[in-house]
Amino acid sequence: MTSTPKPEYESPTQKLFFPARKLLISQQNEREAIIRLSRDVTSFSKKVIFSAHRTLPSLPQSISNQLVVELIANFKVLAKALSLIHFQYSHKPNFVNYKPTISNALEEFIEAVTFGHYLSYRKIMRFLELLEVLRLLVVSYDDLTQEINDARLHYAIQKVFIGFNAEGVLPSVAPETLLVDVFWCSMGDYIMGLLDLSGEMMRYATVHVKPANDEAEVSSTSLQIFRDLQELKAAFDVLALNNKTLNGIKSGQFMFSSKAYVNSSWGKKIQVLAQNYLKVEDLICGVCIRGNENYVEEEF
Amino acid sequence: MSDLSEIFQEIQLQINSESQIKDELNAVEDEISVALSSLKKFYLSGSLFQTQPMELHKVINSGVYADTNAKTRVIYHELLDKVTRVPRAAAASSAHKHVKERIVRRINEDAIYVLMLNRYLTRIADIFKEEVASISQPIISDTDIGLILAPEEVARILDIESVNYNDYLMCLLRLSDDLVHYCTQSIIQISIGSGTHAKFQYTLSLINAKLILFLQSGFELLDLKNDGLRRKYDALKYNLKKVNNIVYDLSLRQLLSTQVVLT
Repeated sequence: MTSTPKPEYESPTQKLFFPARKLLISQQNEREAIIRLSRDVTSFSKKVIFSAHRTLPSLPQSISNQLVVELIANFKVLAKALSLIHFQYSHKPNFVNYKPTISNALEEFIEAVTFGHYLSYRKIMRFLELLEVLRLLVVSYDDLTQEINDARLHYAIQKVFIGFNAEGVLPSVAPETLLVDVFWCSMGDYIMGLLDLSGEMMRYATVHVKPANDEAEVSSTSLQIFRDLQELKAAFDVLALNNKTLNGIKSGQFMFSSKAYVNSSWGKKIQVLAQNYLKVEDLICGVCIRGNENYVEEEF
Repeated sequence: MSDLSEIFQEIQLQINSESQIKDELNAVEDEISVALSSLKKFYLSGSLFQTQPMELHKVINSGVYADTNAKTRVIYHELLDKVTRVPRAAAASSAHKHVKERIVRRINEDAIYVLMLNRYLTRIADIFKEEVASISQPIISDTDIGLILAPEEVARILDIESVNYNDYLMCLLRLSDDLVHYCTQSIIQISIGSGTHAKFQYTLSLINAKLILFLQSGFELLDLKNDGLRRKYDALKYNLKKVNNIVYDLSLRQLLSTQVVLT
């Protein structure tokens, strides 16, 4: 958007196109800034996922100091990027054009946060809980002073990783700070993040299939993940069945159409969820058949 | 995971709600399509482009073509009202802002396009009212005499604070298609018509060629990224080539005698 240009121009071409040029350049700079911030969100969300994978199945009680340091560092970057997206760009007229880029980053962020939350609480994080974490991170960074508010940041991390604070005490955060409207994170983004979560659950179940002691052939963690994946897959199957006109999710927006959904990214992600479930099923079935044979071999 | 059924109930509720909003927006969009077609139809019916330049002044300021600016302003505001009055959509998430934004841009684009075309045809009608030895015209102006409607003039006519430059640029590119179209149509009509003042009327091709060249040199100043505007701009060079060929053919046969200066 532009208002009446004031400067004098030498030719009609300049008069008509110079303001347009200026505007387009500022829009492109804005777009590039959004892309850079989204890349940060994607990249540091992946780091949070790796950190979560390094936690033990007994996570609620044990989270190493090294991991605490990692999480703080990664969440600081996330808080800064998300805060800048919210306060500097989300209210710009062209924000809708940047939503696809932001949605891709958000999916990764949601995957990271829900995965950490799943390992901590053994349940799927709700949409409202996710928004609370997002709000906390958004208000954790102050653009003016360029400083991070540690209390808010630690509160956000604690909401995801219960073992983050050994005493389990949540820092105090003023409730009015949580009133920011993070409208740019939608239910559609949340669903896409949940579908990605299944991949991380599968990886975790695979790595931790061996029990910590000899109490059973399959670890209770992997068995629980197997059951949870089964439930998640069933829930998504029912959702797809009940919403046949739901063609997919694009940039966090539900797409409705009478066409089949199988070729959309949504359809592919549902297929991947089924594959992840089958991988864990095969793995656990294999361990059940072979029992401790594999472990005996390891001794040689 | 005892919470899972509740989570999916919430998801289902959201899907139901968004599906309903989508239906409402589709209904508004259909309604707007009908209203927009009334805005565009008299320009797109082709009758104006089949009018010889010297006959244009008899048509452009009368009947359905009279008071185009005022009519467009009324329809434009009516349509915007319709979009903003979708109650559920107003409270909807960013996802629906996207849909609303798309509809508003459509309305903007069509309104600007009609005004721009009206300005061009009005000025052409004025230029060709009577035969003159040379033509001197401003391309853009603040006083309603420019061949191309400036963004500030659009804002003033539509009674809005400012014009979205992306929509405006898109309309300039749409105008370039019509410049070529009118160029070829006018030559055909002059050739098969009475043939009076033929040489003078062929000057329209020269004016349009200069206008398209102006647009081409202007768009070269812009760093366009790979979007709809860029794709539309890619077609501008073909318009320039086409109109240049027409002017070349006319000049080769000494059918252009009037001097044209666009300032």
